[in-house]
Amino acid sequence: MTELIETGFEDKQFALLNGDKEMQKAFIIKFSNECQEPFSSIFDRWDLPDIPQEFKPPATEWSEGEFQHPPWESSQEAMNSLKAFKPNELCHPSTWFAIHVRCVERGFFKRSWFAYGHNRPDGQRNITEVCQSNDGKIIDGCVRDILRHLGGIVIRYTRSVYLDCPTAGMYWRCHMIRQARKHRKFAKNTPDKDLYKCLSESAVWRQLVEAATTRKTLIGESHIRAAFIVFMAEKLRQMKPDDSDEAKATRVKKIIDSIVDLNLRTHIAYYDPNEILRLFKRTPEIKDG
Amino acid sequence: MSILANPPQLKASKADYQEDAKFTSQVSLNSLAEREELLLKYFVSSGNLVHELLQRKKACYACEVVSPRSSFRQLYIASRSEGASQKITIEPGLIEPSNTFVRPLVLSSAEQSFIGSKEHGLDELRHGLKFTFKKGAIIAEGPYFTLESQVNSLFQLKKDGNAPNGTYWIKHIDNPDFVFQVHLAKDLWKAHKKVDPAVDKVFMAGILASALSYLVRLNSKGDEDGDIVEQHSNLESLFKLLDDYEPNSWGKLKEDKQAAVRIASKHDGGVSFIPKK
Repeated sequence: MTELIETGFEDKQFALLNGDKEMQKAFIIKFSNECQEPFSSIFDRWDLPDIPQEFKPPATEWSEGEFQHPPWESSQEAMNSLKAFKPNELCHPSTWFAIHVRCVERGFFKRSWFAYGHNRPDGQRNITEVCQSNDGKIIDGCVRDILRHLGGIVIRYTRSVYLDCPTAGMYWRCHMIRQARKHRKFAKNTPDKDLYKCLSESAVWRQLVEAATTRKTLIGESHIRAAFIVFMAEKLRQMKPDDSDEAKATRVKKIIDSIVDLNLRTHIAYYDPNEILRLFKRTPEIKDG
Repeated sequence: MSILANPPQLKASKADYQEDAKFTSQVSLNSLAEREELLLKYFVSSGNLVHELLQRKKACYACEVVSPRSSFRQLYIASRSEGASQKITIEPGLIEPSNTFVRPLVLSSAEQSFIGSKEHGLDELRHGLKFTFKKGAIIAEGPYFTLESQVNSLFQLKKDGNAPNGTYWIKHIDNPDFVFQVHLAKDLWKAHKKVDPAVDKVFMAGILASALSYLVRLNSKGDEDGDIVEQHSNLESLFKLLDDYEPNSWGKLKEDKQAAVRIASKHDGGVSFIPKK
C-alpha cells in the first residue's frame, strides 16, 4: 500500500487518483458513517483554505436526496449561510472541500453522502459494496465520485466545481438568478423557482456552464445570460418531457451557438435583457432551436 | 439598400479598411477592499470613419470584462462625459483578477448608414457602397489583454522566484494546460535589465508572447489551414530572427509539439521553453 506523503490540495488529489486499490479503499472507508475518525482529519495536509468563522451551515439537516439535488426551497437558507463568501472564492474546489468539512462537523451533511454515484443514490451502501469489491475500476470510480461531490477534481478546474459538486451547482444557479434579478423590470412574471428549475435541468446547466467558462463566454454576459435563462425556462415547457437528455442538450447547444453568432458584428449586450429576450424570440435559429 | 451585410471593422493590429488606422487602449487596476476599479484610456487614430463617428457622438467606447472561472462577463459602455477615459467599478468578489481579461471596443450608438468614400479611408472597391451600422454594432475592437499581465497579450507572465534570474512561468489565459517555464539567456536577460521600465512589459511581450502565439496555434486544433507564417506576416520576422540563431528550431518544434525547445541567442543560451509536466 502506498502512503499519501504529498502535501497540498492538488498533489493530494493527484496521489489519490493515481494510488493503488488499497490506498483508494482506505480513503473511501473514511467516508463511512461508522468511521470514528474526525472528518476534518481526512484532509490533514491537504492545505484547505481557512474559511470564515461566521459561516454556519443551516441548523436543519438536509436529507441525502436534498444533498444530491438541492430543491429551491432548501437552497435559500443555504444561500444565506454562504453569504459569508465572495463568489470568486466559491469557484475553487478547495473552498468547497473546506465548506463541506464544516457542514459534516456541524451535522448538516452526513459523510457518506459524498459517495453517491450514477444511479446509486445511497452513499453508505456504495461504500460497503465498494470496500468488498476488488474491481479497480469500481474503486477508482468511487474515489472520483467522492472528490467530485466534495468540490471537484482540480484537473478539470473550471467546470468541475459547477458541474460535479451538487452544493456548488446549487450556489451558482442561485447566484446567476440573483444577478439576473438585478436588471430592473426584467421577467417579473417568471418566478425565481421556475428559473432555478430551468437551470437544474442537466442539459441546460451543462451547456451553459461549459460555454460560459470556456470558449463561448459570451453566453455568461450579464444581460445575455439573464435573457437566456428566462428564454430557456419558457423553451423547456415546449420541449417534450420524454425527450432524452442528449436531444435536449443538442438543442440547447444549438441555441447557444446561434446566440453567439448573433453577436459577431453587433454586441447584443448593448441592449437591455428585455430587448435581448425579444430578439431571441424573433430570431428563427434561436426561436426554433 | 446595404450591399454588404458586414460593414468594415477597425481592428487594432489589422485595420480592415485602412492601413494606418489604429485602436489601442491602456488599463490600470485599483483593487480596493470594497470593489475593483478599472481605469481605461482609449486611443483611435484620426482620419477614419471610427474616429469621425466618435467625434460626432454616433459611437462610444466600451469594454468587456471577462472572468471565465467565476463565469463573469459584463459589457461596460463609457458615458458621453467619460469619453476616452472610462472608469469601471466592479462589485466585490465577482472576478478572479488572475483569470480576467478585458476587451476594448467601439460600438455604434445609433442606427446609421453611410456611403463608402475615400474620406473614410476605404479602399476603392468599397467606394460608393452603402454600409449600415445597427445600434450596438462593433465598429472597432482592440486586442484582449489580461488584468494580471496588462501587456496586451493572451499570456500571463510571472517571475519564478525559486529559479535563477531570468526564469518565468508563462501561461496562456484561455488554456490552463498550456504552461511553460521560460528561461532567458544571460545576454538576453542583461538586455532586458537595461530596458526602460516603461516598456519592460512590451519587451517581454514581444519576445515571449509572439513566440508563444505560434506555440499555442501549433497546439490548438486550429481553424486555419495553410502555413501560419503566410497568414500572420508579423510572425515572419520573428522566425527569421530565431532561425538565424538556432537553425531549424521551429522545425523541431513542429515535429514534436511537446518537446522542450531551446532558442539560442547571439552569444550563448537563449530562451528555453519547457512544457510543465
